[in-house]
Amino acid sequence: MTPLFFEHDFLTLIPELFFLMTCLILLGFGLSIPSEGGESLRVYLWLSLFSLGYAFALLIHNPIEHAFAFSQSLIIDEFTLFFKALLLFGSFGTLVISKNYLIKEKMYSFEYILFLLFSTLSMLLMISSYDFISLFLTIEFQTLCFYVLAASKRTSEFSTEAGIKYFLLGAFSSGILLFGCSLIYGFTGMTNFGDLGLLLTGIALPQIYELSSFPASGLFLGILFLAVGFLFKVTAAPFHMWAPDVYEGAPTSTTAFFSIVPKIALLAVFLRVFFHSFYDLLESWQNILLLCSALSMIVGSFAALAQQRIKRLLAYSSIGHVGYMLLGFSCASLEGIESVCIYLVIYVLMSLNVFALVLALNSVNSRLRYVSDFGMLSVSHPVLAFTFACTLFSMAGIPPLAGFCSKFYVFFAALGSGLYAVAILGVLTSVISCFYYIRLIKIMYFERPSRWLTYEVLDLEKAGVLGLTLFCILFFFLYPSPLFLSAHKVALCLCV
Amino acid sequence: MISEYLFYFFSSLALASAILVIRARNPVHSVLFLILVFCNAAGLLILQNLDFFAMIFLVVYVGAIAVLFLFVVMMLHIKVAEIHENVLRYLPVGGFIGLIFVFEVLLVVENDLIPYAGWHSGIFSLTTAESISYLVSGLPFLLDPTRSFREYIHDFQTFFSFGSSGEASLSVNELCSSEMMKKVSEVFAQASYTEWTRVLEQTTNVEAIGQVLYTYYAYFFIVASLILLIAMMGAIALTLQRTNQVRRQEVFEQNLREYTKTLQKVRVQGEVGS
Amino acid sequence: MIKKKMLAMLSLLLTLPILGAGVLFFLPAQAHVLHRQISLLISCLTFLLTCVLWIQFDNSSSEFQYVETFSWLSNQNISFSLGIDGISLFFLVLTGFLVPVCLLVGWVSVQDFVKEYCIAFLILESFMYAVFCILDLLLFYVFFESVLLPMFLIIGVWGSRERKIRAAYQFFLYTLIGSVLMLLAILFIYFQTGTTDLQILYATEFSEYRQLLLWCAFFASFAVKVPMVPVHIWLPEAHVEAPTAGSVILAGILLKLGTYGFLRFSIPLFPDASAYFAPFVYTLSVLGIMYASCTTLRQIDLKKMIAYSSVAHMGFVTLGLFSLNLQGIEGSLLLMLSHGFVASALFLCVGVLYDRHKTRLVKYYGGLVHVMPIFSLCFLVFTLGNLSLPGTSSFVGEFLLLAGCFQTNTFMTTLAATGMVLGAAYSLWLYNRVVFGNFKLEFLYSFADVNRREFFIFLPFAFAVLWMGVSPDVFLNPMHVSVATVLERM
Repeated sequence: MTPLFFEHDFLTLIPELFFLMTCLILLGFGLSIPSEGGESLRVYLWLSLFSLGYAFALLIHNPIEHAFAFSQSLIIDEFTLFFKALLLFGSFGTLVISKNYLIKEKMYSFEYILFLLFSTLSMLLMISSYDFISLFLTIEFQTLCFYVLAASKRTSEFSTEAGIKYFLLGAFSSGILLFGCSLIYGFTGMTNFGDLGLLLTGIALPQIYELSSFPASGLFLGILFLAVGFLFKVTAAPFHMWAPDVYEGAPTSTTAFFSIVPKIALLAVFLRVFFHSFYDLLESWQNILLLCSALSMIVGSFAALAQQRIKRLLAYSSIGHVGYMLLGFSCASLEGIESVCIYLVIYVLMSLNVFALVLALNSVNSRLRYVSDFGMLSVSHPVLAFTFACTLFSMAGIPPLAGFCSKFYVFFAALGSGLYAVAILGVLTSVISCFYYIRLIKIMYFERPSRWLTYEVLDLEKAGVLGLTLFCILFFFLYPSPLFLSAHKVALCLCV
Repeated sequence: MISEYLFYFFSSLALASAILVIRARNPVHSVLFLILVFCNAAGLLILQNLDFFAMIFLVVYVGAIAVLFLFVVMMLHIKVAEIHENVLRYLPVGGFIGLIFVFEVLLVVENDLIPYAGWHSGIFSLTTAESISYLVSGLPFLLDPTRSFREYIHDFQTFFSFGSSGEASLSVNELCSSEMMKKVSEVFAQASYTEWTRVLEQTTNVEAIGQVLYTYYAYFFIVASLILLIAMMGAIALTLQRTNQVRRQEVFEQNLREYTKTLQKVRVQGEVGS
Repeated sequence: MIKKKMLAMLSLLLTLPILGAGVLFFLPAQAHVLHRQISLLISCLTFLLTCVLWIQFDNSSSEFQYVETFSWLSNQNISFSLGIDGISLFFLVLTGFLVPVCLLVGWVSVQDFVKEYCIAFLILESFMYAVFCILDLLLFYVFFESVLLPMFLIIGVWGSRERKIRAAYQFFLYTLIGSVLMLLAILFIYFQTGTTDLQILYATEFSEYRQLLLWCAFFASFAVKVPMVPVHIWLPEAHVEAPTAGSVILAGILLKLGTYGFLRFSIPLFPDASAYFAPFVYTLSVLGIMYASCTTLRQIDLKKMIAYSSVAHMGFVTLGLFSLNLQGIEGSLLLMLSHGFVASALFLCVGVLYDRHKTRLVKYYGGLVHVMPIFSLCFLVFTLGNLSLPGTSSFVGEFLLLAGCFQTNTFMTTLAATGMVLGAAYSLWLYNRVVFGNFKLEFLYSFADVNRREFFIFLPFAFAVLWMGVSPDVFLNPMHVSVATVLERM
């Protein structure tokens, strides 16, 4: 530990510090804008988008590429750069598509946007975490922001209920996570990921195992609780109960944010935890993650078949996608990490597209609630229907769209690690999930809606996001090398 | 000895109070039992030689949080009868989950976690229980700082007589004796050893925390402060009503008012006698 | 010399339809005539390109020709390599031939979403070219699957009845379930060898146990596509519900994807497993021939009859493929080609009838020779092609095929040959009922013979069928060396 505190630490954290300063300034600014009216909200929103953009620029051009900050509680390297960039991109996209929704729904409180920004800040710090205390604090920070975001639509009881459910289960899972962290601290005496990795080096080798009674079973228990807390937060089955209810009750822009952004940060930091610290105790966490991945894939495909509401369907489909990401995670190999990175990027793009669509078709008079409301979209909004069809095919994993590339890489990583059964389960559930995606397309193209909805004109921001993501989804297949190569670099950085 | 009894007293009282928090009929009684739990936890912390944390427990938990609970409980009219619905309904699933937790705890508790089980392998391996009792034995030091640390280690030996399981070689007491050290340093004449037991400094809890919290762990401190900020903002964002019915004062408008212009006398042409 | 100048022909072939689709995309939606003309022009251009490929093809070289490589994933050694040999050459020509026909068929009958119709067919054409040209296992799988997407839309949007959605679903999901197992097998091969390049994979040896497993996975996918008997149910549904052009493409090309996959991938990559499973495939094929032929006799819907007869013919094809000798494989290739012409032409005939009378049930038709003589003549030519009359292309294919199979397994061949009798039965009976006899005035009373567009669609088909029947050498010559190369691996 360097005796000269803070000398270089602030330099390494310039993007986060800038973002924190802008959030605090925006907090002060928000108090001075009038709270009744869309105009000031528009200004506020563009300011926050600018701050996100500048933070992104600062992140990309940070001259410090590898550092430990604040006495080894934070780490900066290419892994964090990749995930932070993806996170900022996801937040930016979500905020862009939410703009019209907030104004139309008269959710004029500026705190909504501010909580979005603060949760982004917390996730930026979470990705850089290198210590259990830092991990727990930033997870608490992020989930606290999310509780408020879920409950922020004051005129809707649904929203309040979603907030309460999220709060109860989130607090419970944070408690389990903290218990796991404290058990690990209790049995090893250290909370730093790197130190834990050094301590547990070669611990599974028989020579060392016989000599001492370490690792105590308390350590395994701690890792178990840690994994369970993580799986709760990332909405993996069998801990996914809260996700459909919360996703459905929360206002749609919040659902978009929940669905797109937190998984990036959580997967990043837990990749680091499990690969830096507990890789030698592989048996203790690989089976849990494999089991949950298999269950998530099954739940995500079967449960969504029966859904009639669009937001619950999207919640279950995101549970399925998390299942595939966990499959890549539990491969515990270089290709596994690469597949998680690639899947995350493509998942963010597809989710942005889907939620931009859902928000576009959602108008105040006639809310888009049921799946059958999509009927005859091909006649009223042909281009939008085509976009949705492409995104749904991509989510189902049909070549030659982007979703296929990500899925094939996950299965390749799984086969490479010898996880044959789960890979076969994965492909079969992929076909089953295809069924309900195609049902949506069928409804769009061939069925009449049960109740007629009025649509509004698509605004420019959503059109931009839809176009950009559709372009990426359609033509990713032609030139996938940049993403694959950067994922490879990121994975090498994590493992080496 | 006393500390052992105190430990049992505080922990059993804390457990009983915790169960009564859930089972009490009157919600105010629940909160009062919760306060009792906190006080007992503070006592346990003092037994662990953590004076600062115990006081912080009392100030924050009892003084702020429990008082807030009391406010809320007293302001909301909670019907007493609704609380105790059919608890037995949850017994199968809840009992099953509870049993899982108990099973997991039993998985973890091994021989070396149970105190007085004797020394295990290794010379300097202080297991968890022993280190706890080691710390507990420092309690008399708080009362009488004039005694040297070595004497306390001697007390430690006399208080808790560990039955050695045969292979305990050097005891801590022997190692700390300077005669032994002189013999060792005679053998290894070139090396100079630091006698760590003489070099240890005593600081208070608050000083120790302060020395690390604002230096090595400053980042955690700042993040915690951000969490508090968010909590405050969240509470305001969720509950503040900016309606017309809330009466407010617009201080600047009021100050700008010219009082000479606020009241005017107006002559009204009215009918006589109306 | 000339070959060097036209070296980028395959990529040109692949991108030209996509460029055409892009051009169409920007045209206004009301300009139907313009859409049709431009798409017809582009598809005829690509057909000319495939003919040039055929002419410039070198019959004597066993390597892949017109090879081009683009890197797709450089660090994974997966590259976009294109190339053709004698086996894939004719499928390219067939595709180039059929797509303009499809567009011409929809000239009058498709009135809504004309732009999307043309774009869908052009994109489908590009994907089909890609399937036959690509020399990389994973990318073959990608295009093999992506053919489903435009086909799903074609069946679902321009199909004729309400049942079309169910048919589109069945088509999509059946084919998808089989294929995902193939994806796992491909990834497994990639993991073992580190590359998916076909030319390298041809040189690798897999252990026998692995070959068996991988062959089964590949079989699951190709068998659904072919279709072989237990998993053939999607085909009659899809054919019946699809528009005429959809049926033409489905019968003409999409069924051949499965057998092409067998020939290009299953047999050369897993020779021991192919030999091991050959009796199994024989059994399924003969069952298919028998069952499908018998079922055809029972059908009342014209399109279903031709669909089931397609199943029977594809049973012959797989029989020939797994005979694993030169005549068998060449015969099956020729039968594939001829079936591509004959079955498509039969669907066109049915489409002609459907356009006029909006029904496909045999009960309503009879005595058409009196009022539609030219149609009867065309229908006759293709019916004779269907029952493999000597002089038509199917005869050459079947004869070679059965000759090859006879060397391997005489009993199965005998059974299959009796299937030919059944084929004659249903074809002639159908023709008899529809064309001869008295026409049924109580159902149909206004008739029109084939118009000029339809006649000019039928003419090339008839020409091709007769040409292949009379002088098959032109078609067989390029195949010899390629098929011999495949058989060398055995």
